[in-house]
Amino acid sequence: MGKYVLRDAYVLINGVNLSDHVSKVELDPKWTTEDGTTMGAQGTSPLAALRDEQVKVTFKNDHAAASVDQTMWPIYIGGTAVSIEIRPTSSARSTTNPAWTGSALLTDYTGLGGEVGKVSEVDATFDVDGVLTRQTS
Amino acid sequence: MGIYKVTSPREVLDVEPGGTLEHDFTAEEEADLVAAGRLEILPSEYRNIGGREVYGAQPGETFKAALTVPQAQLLVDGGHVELASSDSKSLDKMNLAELRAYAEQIGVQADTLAALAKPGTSKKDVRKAIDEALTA
Repeated sequence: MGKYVLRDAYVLINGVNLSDHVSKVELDPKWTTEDGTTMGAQGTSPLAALRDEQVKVTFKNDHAAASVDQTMWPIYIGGTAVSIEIRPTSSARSTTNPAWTGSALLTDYTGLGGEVGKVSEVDATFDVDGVLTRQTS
Repeated sequence: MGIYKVTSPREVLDVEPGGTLEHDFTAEEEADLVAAGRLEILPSEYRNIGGREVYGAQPGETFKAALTVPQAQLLVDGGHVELASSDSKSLDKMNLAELRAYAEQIGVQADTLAALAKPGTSKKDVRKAIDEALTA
């Protein structure tokens, strides 16, 4: 698989496929660091401490039964981590279509937002509990 | 109603180690028991009653998944799933043919079953009442 245009990303939240309402998805994995800099150094010496990962999703909002709002709001209110899975395409997992999976807490959820005359979009940010796993099968 | 396997060396709710337990735990109770290694959540069967794919099942299809109490409740609250248990239909909602078939299945006379069929009585409660009567 070479360079590609993202058209068919697969987004599973608590087992529910919400891909058809996703307009943007972003993995945000990073390390927290500790400063290992000592005397004599010319630059800082960061040491990897803990992985601190987030998944950010933007949805076209929908209040219909079993759609975005009715799925996401109970997750937000529940305050418990849910399973998430993100893939580049809706095809099965493979080496060229890896899945990032994990358990994550929905810490930020817009619920309702948008400008007059524009499609209503909502943003959701999941803080990963532990780490994301990259799976190819 | 969750389904669990007892994985600790001690009984859980009178169920022996290695046995299967069906019980309505709260989310906290379940989490504590699972974290302590005393229970393992077994898959339950759910029916997709929403309009989108859930755990690989299309609308109208059933799937099996070992969901925690909160996970399952979120899917129910979101209008996505219901338990696909055949015990979910209460006797007073059965027609005569279904009542006769169920009576034959559990080995009782249909009129005995009808006498136990108070409104809202689940098949599970009826079976329990019959078992208790037979062992009394």
